[in-house]
Amino acid sequence: MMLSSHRAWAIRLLTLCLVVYVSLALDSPRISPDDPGEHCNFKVTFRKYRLILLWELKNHSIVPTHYAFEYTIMSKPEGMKIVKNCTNITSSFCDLTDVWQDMHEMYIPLVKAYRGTALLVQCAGSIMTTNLAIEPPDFEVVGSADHISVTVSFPSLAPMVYKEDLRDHASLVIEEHLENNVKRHEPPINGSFIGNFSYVLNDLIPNTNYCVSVYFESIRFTPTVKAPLKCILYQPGQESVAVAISIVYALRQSGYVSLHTNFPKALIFKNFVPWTVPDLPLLEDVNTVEVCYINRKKKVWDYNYDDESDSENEASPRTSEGGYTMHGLTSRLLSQIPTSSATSQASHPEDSADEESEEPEEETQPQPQPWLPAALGPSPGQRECTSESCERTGGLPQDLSFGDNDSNSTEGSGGKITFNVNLSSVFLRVLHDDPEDSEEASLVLTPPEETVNLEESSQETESSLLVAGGEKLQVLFPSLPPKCLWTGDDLSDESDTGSSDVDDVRDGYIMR
Amino acid sequence: KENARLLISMSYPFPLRCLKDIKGFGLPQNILSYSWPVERNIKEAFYEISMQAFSIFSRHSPISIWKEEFLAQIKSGLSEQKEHLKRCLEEEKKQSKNMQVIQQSKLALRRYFQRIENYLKDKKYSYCAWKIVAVEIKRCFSYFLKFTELLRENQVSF
Repeated sequence: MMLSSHRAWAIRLLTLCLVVYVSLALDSPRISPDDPGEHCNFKVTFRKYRLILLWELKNHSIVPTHYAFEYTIMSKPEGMKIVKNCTNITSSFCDLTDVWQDMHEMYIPLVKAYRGTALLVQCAGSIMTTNLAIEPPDFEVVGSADHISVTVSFPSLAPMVYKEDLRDHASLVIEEHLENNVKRHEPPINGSFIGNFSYVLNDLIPNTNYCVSVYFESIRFTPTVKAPLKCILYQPGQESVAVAISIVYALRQSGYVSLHTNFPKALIFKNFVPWTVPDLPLLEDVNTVEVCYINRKKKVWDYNYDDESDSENEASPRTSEGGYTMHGLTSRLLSQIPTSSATSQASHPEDSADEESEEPEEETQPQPQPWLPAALGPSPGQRECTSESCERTGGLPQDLSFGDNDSNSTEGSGGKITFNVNLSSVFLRVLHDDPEDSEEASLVLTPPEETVNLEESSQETESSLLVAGGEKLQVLFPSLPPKCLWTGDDLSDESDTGSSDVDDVRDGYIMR
Repeated sequence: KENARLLISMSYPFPLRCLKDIKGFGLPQNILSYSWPVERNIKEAFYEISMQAFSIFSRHSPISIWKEEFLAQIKSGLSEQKEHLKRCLEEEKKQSKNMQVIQQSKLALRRYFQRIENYLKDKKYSYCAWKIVAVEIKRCFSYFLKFTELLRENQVSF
């Protein structure tokens, strides 16, 4: 008894399981070729003004060789309608532009997938016009001098969707993207969406990357499909380059610009012998001068208060308020030098110290004036040297000049030029009392009366330049030609304005 | 437009097994022809459609097919639309005396919705019947939306 009840219970349980299993098996979806189901994904799009229905089998393992397309409508109980151009097709889409023309209708498409003659699957769906995706038109973006031009190319076909003008159901939108900002443009279009349409984007920030997108926007049709962004770097002025290139190309095409290689004989430079163009004459009257340097030795005061050594007889150098002394520099024009060695010109370096106009003075001034390099500018006095003694001063540093032509006025009598010198920026060089130099120095004409002993203890002179810096004289540029150097034999009791016991020779330089 | 969107969501996607229950209800498109006065004619027709659709969804609520809050939303929209048009029409009625054309349009629409209601009754308010009715009412709204847009853009000739 107990055993039979248990057995009955087991049998009932097993039966129940079988029933459930069978029910589940029966209710499970099966792909039957005779039972059209929702086995496809449908998409209807408006592409280049053509109504296209696309489908895709959900089961990708099913690979048919061809399809057959049919459809019906919901508003009337009509049978399936065959589309002539969509029967026995290998592509998975059908052009229904001239077939589906009622936008209020709901269409029921039916797609049969075959492999050979075998029907693999049937898939059906429901398409409402609101599912229509209007694809954007083609467009180009071109940058100009002061704007960006967006040219939209509408298809050449009639823009009719469901037998109605697209313009009645959609508007063209141009989006202007700048970083995170999007500016929306709805350009008014006269007429329908046919041909090319250009729109200008103004008020742009130079040297900025702009991106543009174009699409149709419709209240009735969804979703909105936007075109991929096209970006351009807005650089004002680029157009001029493009225009220039275009002009050159046009000239070339028209023959104004020839790229032929058959040149006329006159333009063939194969045997051309190049000849140098002679130097043009200088436009300004330039006088070449030689500069002679005269070193002075300053006599050291020996603490002798004798009248003979009194400096009253000595002519103190005149000083001007501007810091100029009467220490003159004499040079003479190279044209007056009879020797053939006068071939090079003296350099004309800048006279940075010559900030004030200077007036030359006559040579006949009795005041003793030290010889200074010509670059120091004009001096009240001037020196004269013979042709044998005057050397070229081409080795002088370039920064040494005779002074500016604007600020200096050089006057010469008998070919002599006198410059005023600002001692605060004077470069002097002291000749050493070298016997070898003395022979050469004797060739130099020196004013017998004007000698300044710039050395403290010795009578030696060194070929060096002296720089007057305040009360000191610093000696620089030890590369003066020897023949213009003063030997230093002529001593002078004349003292400078400063004290005479502060001369200091350091490494061939005299500091005062 | 909002009511039309709600109806679209009710009817889409359409179950293929219901294709066998498709029926044509004969929407009276001639009532939307360019007759005088067009504007009032459209308003009257729209009011009649709103009222009839609201009645169908209220008296025979397809709760088993759509969610209750969804039905409440569609009924609320239709009711608001109906009341708004009613007020507008009452004001115009005082000014206009030509009611003959308007009455014909209203009768056509009432017959149309009666056919829908009879269909539901015959199909015993089945799932497929409701689906088909939703599609049909949505189609009716779509027609009227089109003509209201034309009226707004002054493309209707008087």
